[in-house]
Amino acid sequence: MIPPGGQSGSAQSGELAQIEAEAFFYTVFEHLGYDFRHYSDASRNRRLARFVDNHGFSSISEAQGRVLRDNDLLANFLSTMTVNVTEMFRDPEVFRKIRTEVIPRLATYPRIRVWVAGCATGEEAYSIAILLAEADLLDRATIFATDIDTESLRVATSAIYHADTMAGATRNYQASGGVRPFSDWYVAKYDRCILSPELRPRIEFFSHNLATDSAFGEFNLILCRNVFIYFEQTLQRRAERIFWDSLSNFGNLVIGPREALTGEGSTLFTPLDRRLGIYVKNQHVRP
Amino acid sequence: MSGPDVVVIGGSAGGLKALRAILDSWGTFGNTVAVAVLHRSPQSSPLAEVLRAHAAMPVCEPADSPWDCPVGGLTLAPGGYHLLVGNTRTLVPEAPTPVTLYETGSGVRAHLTLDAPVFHSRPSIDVVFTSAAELVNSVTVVLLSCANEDGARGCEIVKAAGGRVVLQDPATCEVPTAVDAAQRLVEPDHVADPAGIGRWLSTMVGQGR
Repeated sequence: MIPPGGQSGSAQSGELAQIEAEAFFYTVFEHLGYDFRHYSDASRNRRLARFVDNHGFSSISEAQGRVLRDNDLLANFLSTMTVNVTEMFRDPEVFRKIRTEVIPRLATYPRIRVWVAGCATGEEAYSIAILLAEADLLDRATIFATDIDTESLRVATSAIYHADTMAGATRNYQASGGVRPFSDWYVAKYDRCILSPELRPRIEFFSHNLATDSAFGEFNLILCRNVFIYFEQTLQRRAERIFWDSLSNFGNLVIGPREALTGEGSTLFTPLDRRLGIYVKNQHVRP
Repeated sequence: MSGPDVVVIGGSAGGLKALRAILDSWGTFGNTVAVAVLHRSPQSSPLAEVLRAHAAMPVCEPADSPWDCPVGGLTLAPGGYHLLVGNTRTLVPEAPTPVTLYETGSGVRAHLTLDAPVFHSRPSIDVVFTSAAELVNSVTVVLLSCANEDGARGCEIVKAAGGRVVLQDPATCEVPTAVDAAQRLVEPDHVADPAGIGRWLSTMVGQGR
């Protein structure tokens, strides 16, 4: 920062940290293949700074040498870089719209395939599974839920969450138009809740990286919410093309309420409800 | 090349009332990017509309992230996300080294994240203040009435980076917890009631071109 008075302050340390951060992400990409180079800088660098602090490293450069050589530390780094702290049925209006407008269309297919991209700890994948179950569609649906962070995927696979998150989940569920007692969908034990065993077998959790991997199947519905908020345009365009390639005709893409498509993305998808971030594949174009 | 001046305002209990009074006496922003973070519930509330009635300048919430904060306007943090500020960047087509792919500009962007709440709050004032300390711009942070200590540590970080810290006069705060904590950590550049803060800002920021 250039101080109002004109004297130089601690601007140098900030600039050095920025150079170290760029070098860090370049090296992690070159050596390990994880590409954060086109993540937006402010949130990415805050997460890196937290990782450096949490482990007591004296600098980003010191952290770099360790992450490159220590797989456990790398796993923890990926967690810190990617995890979203979220809840089931976050943005209930979106789930209400999926329930009333998207699910009835999915019901017309003999097999339903859903991709939750950037699923973090799985709350959204289970929310969609509940919507499908309540529409009697879950037995012919498969939900593919992907993230780059194996620690998050481990939590997601367990289907176990803190009991104190269920009050918020219940409120959201009801606001999204859910009419059953939400407690039908989990069993509480001590301070944990495990979600209904009906849900877990219909969801496949596995590792996929939007920055480096490509399309892996065809889906009727793709949710990728609160992922683009971390991406620069270059990376978002890459993900949009993957989603276009991965959607069947009439397939829906759902992004977050504080996200917008890029200029190119706006030609690939047509809004069904722009405010809620729900789009339809435009099949008359080629990316 | 330091771009527009940046003013980041934070508050919680009683903060909205104070923010309205600041906007009333501030007038137009000139060459300034203003950002406000108030503790609020994740459910969407008509905060932007309420403030629009009081502000001589455009008031917006980011519809996207990263989001270009308008110069001469107020960017408001939505509920349920942290908001960070950072400088604009441009992808350099023929980057001179493979390490640095982006060139940093002097415009200001808002970034939303779903990182864990800080002081039980998302958005958090410490988070936005701390991010403001990294800007190339001249930065002033304003801490208003707030019921926990969120924002105090951020004031210290901004001050250490050469920015200015303005505090609401604790006597005029509905809850002075954050302001009291900030005063223990930093020597503020200015302390006043909300109308006084607005007048101070109208002469102290956004004058350059």
